[in-house]
Amino acid sequence: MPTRPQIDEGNPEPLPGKDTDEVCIQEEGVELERTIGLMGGLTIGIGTMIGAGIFVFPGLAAGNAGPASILSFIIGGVIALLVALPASELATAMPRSGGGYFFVSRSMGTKTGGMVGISLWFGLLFAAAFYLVGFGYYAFEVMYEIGLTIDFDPVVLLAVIAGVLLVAISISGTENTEKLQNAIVTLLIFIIFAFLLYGSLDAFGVFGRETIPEDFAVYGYRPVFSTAALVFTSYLGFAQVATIAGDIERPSRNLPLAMIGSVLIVTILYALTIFVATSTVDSATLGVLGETAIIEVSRELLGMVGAIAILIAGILSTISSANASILASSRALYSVSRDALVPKRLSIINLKYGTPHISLIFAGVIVVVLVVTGQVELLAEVASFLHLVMYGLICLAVIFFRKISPEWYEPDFRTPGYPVLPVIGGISSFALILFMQPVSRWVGLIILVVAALWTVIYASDVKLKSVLE
Amino acid sequence: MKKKILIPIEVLKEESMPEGIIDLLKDTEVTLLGIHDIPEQTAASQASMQYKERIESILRNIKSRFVESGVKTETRQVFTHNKEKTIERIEEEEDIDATLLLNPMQTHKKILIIYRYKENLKKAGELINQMGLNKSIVGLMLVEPEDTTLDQGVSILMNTGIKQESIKERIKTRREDIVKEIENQSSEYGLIFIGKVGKSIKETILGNISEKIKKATYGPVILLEGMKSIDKPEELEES
Repeated sequence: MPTRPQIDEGNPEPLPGKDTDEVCIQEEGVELERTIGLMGGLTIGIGTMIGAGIFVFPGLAAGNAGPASILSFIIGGVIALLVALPASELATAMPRSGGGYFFVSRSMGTKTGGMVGISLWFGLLFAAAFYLVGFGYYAFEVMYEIGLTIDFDPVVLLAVIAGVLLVAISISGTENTEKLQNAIVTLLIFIIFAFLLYGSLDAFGVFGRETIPEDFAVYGYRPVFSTAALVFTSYLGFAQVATIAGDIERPSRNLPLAMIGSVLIVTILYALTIFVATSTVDSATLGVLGETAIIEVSRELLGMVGAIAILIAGILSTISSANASILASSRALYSVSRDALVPKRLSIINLKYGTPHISLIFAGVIVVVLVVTGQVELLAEVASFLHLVMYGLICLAVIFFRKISPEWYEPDFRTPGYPVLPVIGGISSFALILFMQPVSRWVGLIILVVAALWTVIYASDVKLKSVLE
Repeated sequence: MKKKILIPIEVLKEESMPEGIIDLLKDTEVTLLGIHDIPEQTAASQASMQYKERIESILRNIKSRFVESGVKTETRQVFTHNKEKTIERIEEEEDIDATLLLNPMQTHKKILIIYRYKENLKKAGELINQMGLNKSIVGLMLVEPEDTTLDQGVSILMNTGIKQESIKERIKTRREDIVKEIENQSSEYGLIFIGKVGKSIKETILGNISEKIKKATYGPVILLEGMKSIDKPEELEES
C-alpha cells in the first residue's frame, strides 16, 4: 500500500496516514471511499464552466471587442491554465477536500485563509446567480419561440424559479445526480461539437457562404483585456475539482488531468465558438443580440434545427453550471466551518437526505437576491474577482510550500516552469481584476473586506498555519 | 477453519442487528462494516465529520454483543457514494467468505439456495454446516442459463453433508425473473443463500439489485461470492 502524507481534515497538523488510490483514510480508522474517476472529475470541471463561455458570453464579448474577443477567451484560458498547474501540485500534495481555501489557509494563515474562504463562498453564489440569469434568458427565448408572450420581462422571474427548484432538488439529495450530470455534459459536448465543426467548415468557406469581412480588432485592443476580465467567469470551474479531491480516485493522476484537461478543453471550445460566431454574424449585431446571440448564430448556420439544438443546450448548460456552483458553495462553506471560521451549524447534514440543508437554503436566499438584480455583467465580474483573488494566492501558495518545504510536502505533480510560471500566474490573476468595471471592483473589494473583518472578529483564536511551524 | 462473514450495516438508516443473527454466526468470524451511503453532492468528509462518533459507538455496541457470544469480530467504518463498490473493495481486503445482508431472523430456518455455478453449492453446503443448519429443510433454485443440473446440485450438497431428504424443493428460474421468484418463495424460506448469478443489462442500468433482493425477502440473505454474486454485469463476469 503506497504511503502518502496526509493532512487531517479537522486539524492543521499533518499526520502520517495510509491513503490509497481508492480510499481516503482518516484518523480513528474512518474510511472515505474515493468514487469519482477521471471522467467524473472532467465532467465537474467542464460542466461547471461550459455554461457561460459558449451560451452567455459570445454576444457580449463580440459586442465589446469584435472578432478579437477570441483573444479575450484565450487570455482567460492561459490565466486559468497558469493557475491550474500550481493548483494541481497542491492538490496532489494534499488530496483532501477543501481546494484553494485549504491551500491558502495552510500557507498564509487564518486571516488570509478566512478572507479567501468566505469570499470564495460569495463568489460561487455570484456565479450561480449569473448562470441562473443566463438560464432566464434562454427560458425566455423558449417561451418566445413557442409563441408564449407575456407583457413583462420574465427573465428574472424564470431565473428565480429555477434557483428555488435547484436548491430544493439539491436538498432532497436525488440519487443519480452524477449520472444525470454526465449525461447532460455528454449531450452538450455533442451538440457543441457538431455546431462548431459545421460552423468552422462554413467559416473557411467550405459551404460557399460569404463570411463576414470584418477587421479583427474592430474596437481596438483595449477592450480585448476588459472583455477578458468579463468572460473569465467562463473559467471558474476547474478549481472545483480540487475542492472534492478527497472523493477522487487515483488523485495523483486524476486531479491534474481533470483540472488541466478541463481548462484546455473549454478554452478550445470557447475560442472556436467566438471564431464561428464572428464569422457568421457581425460583431455589432452579436452585441445587440446579447446573452442569447449564439442561438441566432446557429439559426444562421443551420436553420431552425440549429436554433433549437442550441436553445436546448443553453438551457441545460446554464442550469448545470448554476447547480454545480450552488453545490460548490455549500462545500466552500463546509471547508471554512470545519476550521471554525464560521459557525459549524451552518454546514450540518440532515440524516434523511444526507445533504447540508442549512447551507443550501442560505445559499438559495442569497442567490435569489442576487438574481433579482438581473445584472449579468456585474454578477459575472464579481464572481471572477473573488475567484481571481484566490487563484492569485494559490500561485503564491505553491511558492510558499516549496520554500518552506514541510516534510510531508511530496506532490506527485510538480508545476513546470517553477517559479516563473506561478509568478506570472499570480500577477496576471491580480492584473485581470484591474480591467473590470469599477462597480464590480468595489463590490468585490467590499466583500473581501467584510470577509476579512469577519475572520478577524469571529475567528480571532483559530490558528491554521501551524502546519508550517 | 472458520468462515469469515462481512455484515454491512447502515446504522444511520436505523439498521440494527436483529436478534438471532449473532446466534446464527456464532461459529464464524465477523467483520462489521458500518457503512453510510451519501448522495453525490455531499463530500464524504463532511458526513464523516458529523457522524463518525455516532457510528463508532453503535458499532462498538454491536461488536460487544458478538464478542460476548464468542465471535471474533472486527469493525470498519466507511462513508461512500457507491455502496456496492465499497462493499466489494472491503470484501477483497478482508478476504471474506460471504457477505450477509441484514433482515430479521425468521423463526423457521428453511433455507433457499439460489445458484448458477456448481462451485457455489459446495461453498453453500460448507457454510450451512458451519452454521449448524445441516438438519434444515433446503430448497434449491437453479438460475438459467446454467452450466449444471438440479440433480448434480443435489449430489454436490449431499457431499457436503446435507441429507437428500432435507432437499424438499427444486426450482428453475430465469435470470431476469430472479427478484420476482425470490419474492414468491420468500415467505417459505427463512434464510437465503445466493451464489454468483451475474447481473442482467437492465439491472446494470437501474442498479442496486442487492437492495431489491434484500427487500424481497423476510430473512437474511447470504451472498456466497460477496457483492460480486449479484452486482457484476453478466458479460464482464463471463469474459
